[in-house]
Amino acid sequence: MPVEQKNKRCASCGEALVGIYCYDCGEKIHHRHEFALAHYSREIIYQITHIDAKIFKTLQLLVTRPGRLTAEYLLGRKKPYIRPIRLYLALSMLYFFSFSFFDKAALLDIRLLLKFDFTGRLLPALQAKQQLLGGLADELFYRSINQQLNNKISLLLFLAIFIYAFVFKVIFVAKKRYYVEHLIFCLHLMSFSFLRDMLFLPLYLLHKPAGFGLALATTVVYLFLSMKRVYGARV
Amino acid sequence: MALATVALYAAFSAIFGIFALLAIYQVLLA
Repeated sequence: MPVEQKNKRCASCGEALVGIYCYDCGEKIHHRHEFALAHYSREIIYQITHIDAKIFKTLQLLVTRPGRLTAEYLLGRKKPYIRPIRLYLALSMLYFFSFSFFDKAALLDIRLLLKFDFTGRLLPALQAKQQLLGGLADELFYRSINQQLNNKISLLLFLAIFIYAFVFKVIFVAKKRYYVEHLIFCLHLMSFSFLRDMLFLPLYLLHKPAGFGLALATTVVYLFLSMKRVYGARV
Repeated sequence: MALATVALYAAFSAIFGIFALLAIYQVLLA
């Protein structure tokens, strides 16, 4: 007989038990045979395949149905999908990790930024920094700067989401939605951007302007379609 | 909705630009 059934109390929170899950904290009723090797192996296999199914379902919806994941979440259908913050963090880490090997295709490439620096202040600052680092070879120096830049921007982008959500709150003020609802929309939008950029990585490496052009187009279309689904046809 | 998309995209780009400048400043000048 399970320990908690004897005591009629949840092992985690001490709440009186009704059924196999604690209605207060969700803890499953404990059976000692759960630690039997055969049972435990089955449980591990189930957990792994269950998470896989969740990931697949979430990513499929994120890519093929703009805004649907947010709509589902806002309707309270959360269980079948990965939570927005977890999805964002996982995709963001994967993104910055994969792009750290291909710094030329990364979000911020100092060599590309140099071409668009009309103030003329970037080159002297870079030269001074290179001197400071003991005259590191150009290739190594740019790679190191790109890595530092992308590490910084990964944190700053996370902060930017809170500002993006505020912009949504202002633009869709008539919709009378909570700030966090906009935040969830933005987390899904950014998650899509990371996923798309990872899929576009070969294109970025082959032809960067074409890759950026396509990324811009997909962002605008995706933004439009997901806003239409989540916020309705009118602002 | 199309106008809102353009406005939001412009706002996103501007915010990203500011953060990119901030990152460059922190890496090179700070």
